[in-house]
Amino acid sequence: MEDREIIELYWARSQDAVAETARKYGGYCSAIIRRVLGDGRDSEECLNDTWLGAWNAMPPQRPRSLPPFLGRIARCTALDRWDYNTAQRRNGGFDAVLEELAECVGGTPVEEALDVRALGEAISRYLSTLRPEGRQVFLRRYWYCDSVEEIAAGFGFTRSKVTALLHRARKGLRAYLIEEGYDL
Amino acid sequence: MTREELFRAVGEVREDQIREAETVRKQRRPWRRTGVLAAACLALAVTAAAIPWAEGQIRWKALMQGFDPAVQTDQSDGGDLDGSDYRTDGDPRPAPDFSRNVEIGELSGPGTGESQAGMEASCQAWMSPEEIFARDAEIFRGTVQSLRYFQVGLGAGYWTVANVEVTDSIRGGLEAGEICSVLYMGAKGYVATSLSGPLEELDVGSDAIFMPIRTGEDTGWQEGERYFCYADLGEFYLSEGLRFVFADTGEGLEFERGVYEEIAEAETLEEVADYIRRMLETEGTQPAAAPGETAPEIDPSLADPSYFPEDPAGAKEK
Repeated sequence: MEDREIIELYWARSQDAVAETARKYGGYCSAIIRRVLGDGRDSEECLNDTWLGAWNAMPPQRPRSLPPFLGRIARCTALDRWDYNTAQRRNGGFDAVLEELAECVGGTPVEEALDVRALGEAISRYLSTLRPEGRQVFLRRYWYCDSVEEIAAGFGFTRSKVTALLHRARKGLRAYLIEEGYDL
Repeated sequence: MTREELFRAVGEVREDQIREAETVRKQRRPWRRTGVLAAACLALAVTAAAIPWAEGQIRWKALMQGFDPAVQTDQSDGGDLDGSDYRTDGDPRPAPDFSRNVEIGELSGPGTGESQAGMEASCQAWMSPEEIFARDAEIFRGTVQSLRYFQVGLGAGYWTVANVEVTDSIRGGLEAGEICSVLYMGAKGYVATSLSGPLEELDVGSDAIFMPIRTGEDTGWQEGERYFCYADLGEFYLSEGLRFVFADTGEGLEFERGVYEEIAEAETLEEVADYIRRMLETEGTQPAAAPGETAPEIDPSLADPSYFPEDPAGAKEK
C-alpha cells in the first residue's frame, strides 16, 4: 500500500491503518527501537506505543514522508522507555551513542523548557554544511543508532575513518551550537 | 543541556536529510558494472565473492533484494530486516558507460604464467623527478586490498584493477581510509610490460606509494571507432609502474632508483614520502603538461604547488 493511502486510513480513523503501517514499517521501526532498548519485551511494547503515537498524531498531521515520521516517533518512544529503565537495564550499544553525544553538551538539564524542534532545525543547518558522507554517517549513528562497524561496512569505509568523521562532526556541532547561542 | 536532550533534538532534523541517510551509498564509486558488452560478450568466469571489497557490495545487494515492503513481518521479532536496510529508491549504483564498441570481461584470477607474454611499451620521453611531480597526478600511499583482472578487446588486452586503501594522502583529494581503484596495463600470469616495474610484484597486502592520474570520460585507449574508457574500470590510471610506483615488496623497496637519485639509497616508504613532500614544496613543481598527457587549465594566480584540479582532462594513449 502506498504511504499516502496509509495516511488516508488514519484520517478516516480506519482500524486498518495500524495493521497496514505495521505490515510495511514494522521491521523499520523495530530496528530503530532495538538499537536503543535491545531485544526483549520492552522493544515489543515500545513498538505498540509507536503505533499508538502514530494514531494520535494523524490527524491532525499529514506527513510528507512516512518513514522519517514513524522513525521519529519510534525513537522518542524508545528513549522515553530507556529513561524509565535506566536504573535497571543498559544497552551497551545505545549507551555508546549517548556517550558520544555527551561530548557536545555540558550535561546539565536546561532550566527552561527546551525547544527541541528549534534545536533540531539548528542541527539540520549545521549538517547541511557538511559533505554528504559526513552528514549521512552522522545520521546513521545518531538518528538510526547504527554501530560504527555497520556504518563502515555500509559505506565501504574503515572503522577509523568513520570514527574520525563522527569526531569531527561532533566537534563542529558543539562549536556551531555555541555560536548559535545555545547554553550547552 | 543533557545528552538525552540532544539525542531527542537530532530526531527533529529535516526529513530530507533523514531520507538521504536511509539509502547509504558508497562514495567515489560511480562505476559498478564489470563489463561493457557489444554484440557478443567474452565467456569469462567472475568470482566476485573472492574479492574483499566486493563482499560489502554483495551484502548490501543481498539486503536490497531481501527487503520487500509488501511482505508481512512477524511483529514479535520485528521482521527479518532492520531499519538500516530500508531503501526508498532503485539501483543505488548507476554506472557510467563511456567505452564504445569494445568488449570488457573480468577474468577469474591471475594467469598461470605458462603463456605469459611480454610487451615492449612505448616509453614517454625521459622525465626528471621535477617533471614527474609536476604531472597532474594524485599521490598517495596505500595498501592493496584486492586485485582484479580484465581482458579488453583493445590495446594491450590485459589489465589489472587494484583496490587500494589509502593510508596517507600526499597530494590530492583522497583521505586516509578511503578505498580507491587503480587501473594499470598488464595482468599477472598473462601479460607484463617493460614499464610495469613494481606493479608486477603487487599483491594483496602490498604497501606502496602510487602516482596515478584520475580517470574521466576522455581518459582511455582509442583505435578508430573503438574506445576503451579507463573510467569504466578504475577511478585512477597508472600508465606505468617504473617511475610512478614505489612498492614495499616485503623483500625490499622497489622503484626506479636511477630516476630518483636523491633517494637512491632509500629503504622505507617513509623516506620516499618525505622526499616527495619536499619535492612538492619546492618551486617549479606546478602541475603542468607532461609529454603524452593532456594538461588541465590551471589558474596561474594559484601559487600552491599542491593544487590539484578536480577534473583533469586525462590522457589519450597513442
